[in-house]
Amino acid sequence: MSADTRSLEFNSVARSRGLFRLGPLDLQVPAGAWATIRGPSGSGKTTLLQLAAGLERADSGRVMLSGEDLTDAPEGRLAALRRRVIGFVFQEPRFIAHLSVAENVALGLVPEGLAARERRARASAALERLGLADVAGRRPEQLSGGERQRVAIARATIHGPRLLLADEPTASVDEATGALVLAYLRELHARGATVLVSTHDPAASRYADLALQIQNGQLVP
Amino acid sequence: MAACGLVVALALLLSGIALNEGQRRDSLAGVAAGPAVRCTWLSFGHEAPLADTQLSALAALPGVVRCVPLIVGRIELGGRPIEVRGVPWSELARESGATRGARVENESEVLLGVEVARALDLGVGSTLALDARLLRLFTVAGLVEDVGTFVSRKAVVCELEEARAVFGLTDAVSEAWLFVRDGYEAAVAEAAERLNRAPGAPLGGLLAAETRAVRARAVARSHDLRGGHFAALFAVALALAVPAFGALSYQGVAPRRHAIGLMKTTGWSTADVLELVALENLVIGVGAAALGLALAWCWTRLLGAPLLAWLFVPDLEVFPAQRLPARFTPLPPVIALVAALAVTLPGSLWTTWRTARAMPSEVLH
Repeated sequence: MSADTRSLEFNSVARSRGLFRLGPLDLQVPAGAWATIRGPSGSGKTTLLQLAAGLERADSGRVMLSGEDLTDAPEGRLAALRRRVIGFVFQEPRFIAHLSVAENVALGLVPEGLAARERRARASAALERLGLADVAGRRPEQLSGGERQRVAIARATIHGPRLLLADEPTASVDEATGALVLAYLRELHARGATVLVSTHDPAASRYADLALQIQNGQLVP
Repeated sequence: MAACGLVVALALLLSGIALNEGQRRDSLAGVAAGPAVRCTWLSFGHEAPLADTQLSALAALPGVVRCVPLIVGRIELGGRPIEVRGVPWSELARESGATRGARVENESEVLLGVEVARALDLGVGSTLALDARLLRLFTVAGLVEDVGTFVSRKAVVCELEEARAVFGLTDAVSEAWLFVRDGYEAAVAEAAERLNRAPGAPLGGLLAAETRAVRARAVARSHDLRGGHFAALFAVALALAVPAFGALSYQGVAPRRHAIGLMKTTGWSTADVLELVALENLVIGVGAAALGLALAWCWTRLLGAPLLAWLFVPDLEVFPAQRLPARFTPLPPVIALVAALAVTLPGSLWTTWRTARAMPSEVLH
């Protein structure tokens, strides 16, 4: 399998946090795949996604992204990957409270040196795609739970990531919003993005090219 | 809160520098307007009365255009030590440019410096009692608003003979001012001091002559020292403020951990975060320096530099009833900006760096 077709690869990756231990586990997600991870709470889904996004480092093993080893990558390189290649959606949407919705969405564009007008335009477009054109100027605390999750997805996808990692994106929203979120993620996937979603939602699993199950920090068949 | 403290501290610094510069400008203007050579009599190294008999010898020195005898002394007025100058009639008539109100027309009138007038709450037409060896009553004829050759904003100026009477002198003055031809300053001063070696020179003391250049250097030096002491004390305060501000920044960074974690999740590097914090500090620094400058201007120009003026002007009260000259030059605001950045940047950058270098998952955990 060439580097181009292996979007994400875990080789004997292990990570301990307190009493919890993830792995060692091996995993390959092909480029352009829609993969889901299912498992009970505390089984290691979030840790796995954060390792894949370079938000934390493995204690041992190798995390490879399109053939590039993230394990020992310098901090600046990881930041560049998160800015240009990876999108990450938290289970609970998180925002900077004193910034507007549009400013939160465009947060990752600031280090790219884009002009404020360009950032606003791209944030508006991202919000519009998720049906949130009218909330751009509001503060995050003025939004409903569903709106907040969609804004978080807009922020994670504003730069057109090739790898989207979503941690239970439909867990805290109603059914209609969940369907909207999944439809948007499907759209991104259709445009070529690799999507790795941790979920309990059967609707999300329905589209999976690769369905993973995790339990007590280990992938199970 | 910390930023407010910074603004007040910068205002204090800028006020002090402005006051010192204002005093320096006034003093140097006084020196420039004064005589080319000032002669005094020194007895045991201290200034003592200069006998009238020596004035003619001074006036006769080559290059001397005019020799003006003066009394310059201090008496207590309204509980404050006030400078009193006695000047000959003929010379006082030349000083009308610096005064407001009538010229002195008889021996019972005085000119009053505006700072003295404000401090004593006197005006044109007020009656003033000068009492050293002898009590004399005077009427204020005019107020001195500018620096003149013989008049000052900080002094009471009366006729020479009246001043002699007040201080109990009959055949002596406190000093003689020599006005000389251009380029003769040093030569006249040297010739005046040579009179000490002339046959028949008075014993019991020495004639000392001081040129304008020497006086200007001495004035500048005294203001440099005063300003230097103030700046040194401020530097100590600044050195103490840096760790204090750092500790405040450390406490203040906790709410920002969340924001920094999110920024890093969306692709900000540690350097990007530090750059943003540095920019924020620059904005705070510029704002603090600008506010400090505005506060200093109000403090000195409008309020008369309460709590601070007495550090720069001897015998002044903590809350002076007068407005002091203050001069704002371009350099102090630059110093204030550098000081603001020196206080805010190290603590903020260090605490931010500690947060930003951690992995985003740790920061957001």
